Amino acid sequence: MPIATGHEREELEAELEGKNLLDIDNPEGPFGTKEAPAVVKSYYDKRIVGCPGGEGEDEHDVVWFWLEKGKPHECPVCSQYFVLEVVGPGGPPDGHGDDDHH
Amino acid sequence: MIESQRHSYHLVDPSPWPISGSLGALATTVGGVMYMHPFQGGATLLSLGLIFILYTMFVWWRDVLRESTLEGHHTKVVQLGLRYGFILFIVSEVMFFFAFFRASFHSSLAPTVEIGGIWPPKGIGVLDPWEIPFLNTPILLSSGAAVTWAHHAILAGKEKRAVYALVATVSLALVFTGFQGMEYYQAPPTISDSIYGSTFFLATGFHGFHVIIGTLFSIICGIRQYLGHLTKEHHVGFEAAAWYWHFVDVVRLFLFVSIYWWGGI
Repeated sequence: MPIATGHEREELEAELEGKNLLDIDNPEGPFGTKEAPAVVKSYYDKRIVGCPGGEGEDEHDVVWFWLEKGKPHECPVCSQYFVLEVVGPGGPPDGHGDDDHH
Repeated sequence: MIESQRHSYHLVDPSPWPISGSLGALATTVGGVMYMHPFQGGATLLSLGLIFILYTMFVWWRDVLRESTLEGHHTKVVQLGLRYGFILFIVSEVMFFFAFFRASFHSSLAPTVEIGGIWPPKGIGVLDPWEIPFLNTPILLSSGAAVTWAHHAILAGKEKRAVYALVATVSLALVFTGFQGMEYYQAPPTISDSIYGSTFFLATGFHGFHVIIGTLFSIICGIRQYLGHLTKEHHVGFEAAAWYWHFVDVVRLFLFVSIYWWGGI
């Protein structure tokens, strides 16, 4: 472990463990359907997600929406189906009650 | 593991240094104009402005060192951004020097009748390029080689050797500046001796100023290397100093070939 502190150290430690701290970002996968939804991971109970539509011809301008725990979302343009999987502490993402005061 | 933040970027805290640097720059430019024209208090305002800028530079860079070394804000992606920023800065510096070379060639390629239609201008004494200028060029290039030695030492994890290499870099730089000072002291033309003196001293003077900046940058890197701030995985400050130093080297080569040699014989 090289000399490092703070978030720089967290990033290096994750790397040594073979993990990427930003693993849950830029999710990709097959087009989500009601039977096999597109699963988006989140540290909190809701997350802003953008739907770019399907492959090639079926692509559309990115539509942004709040994806909430237990409330699947269907894209109004292409009907892609999303669900949220909470992988972190949960709760609201807006920082209230967070231990990181800024 | 719970990380301290959910992204890799450095969202900087509010800082007073941008506004203090701006006020320093304003006082310096206004004070400079007043000093060069018949106004009272120009020297005072100019000095205050320069002191303000120097103070801002010190505390701002001190904060950056704290943020990176002591607070760990400089993640991989932040380091990448700093490198891009520094490369763009050096590109802007290249353009700065390009203007001086353009000015010099503009006056020397087709010398006007006012300077006798020849270059160097009629009656202007010039430096012999094969004396101090020719000696100083390899001295500065050797300093550039020494900074590469330091880079290899850092990458190999040989911390002490990196300090020695940086001491060599700085020593050669100081010898260069000493010779350059001697050359200026003995130089036959002055900056007001025709377009020759103007272009010569503008180009070589700004280069010398950049050598001094690069020397200070290398000294800071040497101190940080000695204190153990620079690791083989993370040494952006050193990389920036090394790039800057190579840039100063390249400018020197062009200065020697086109202004001292081609323009001085």
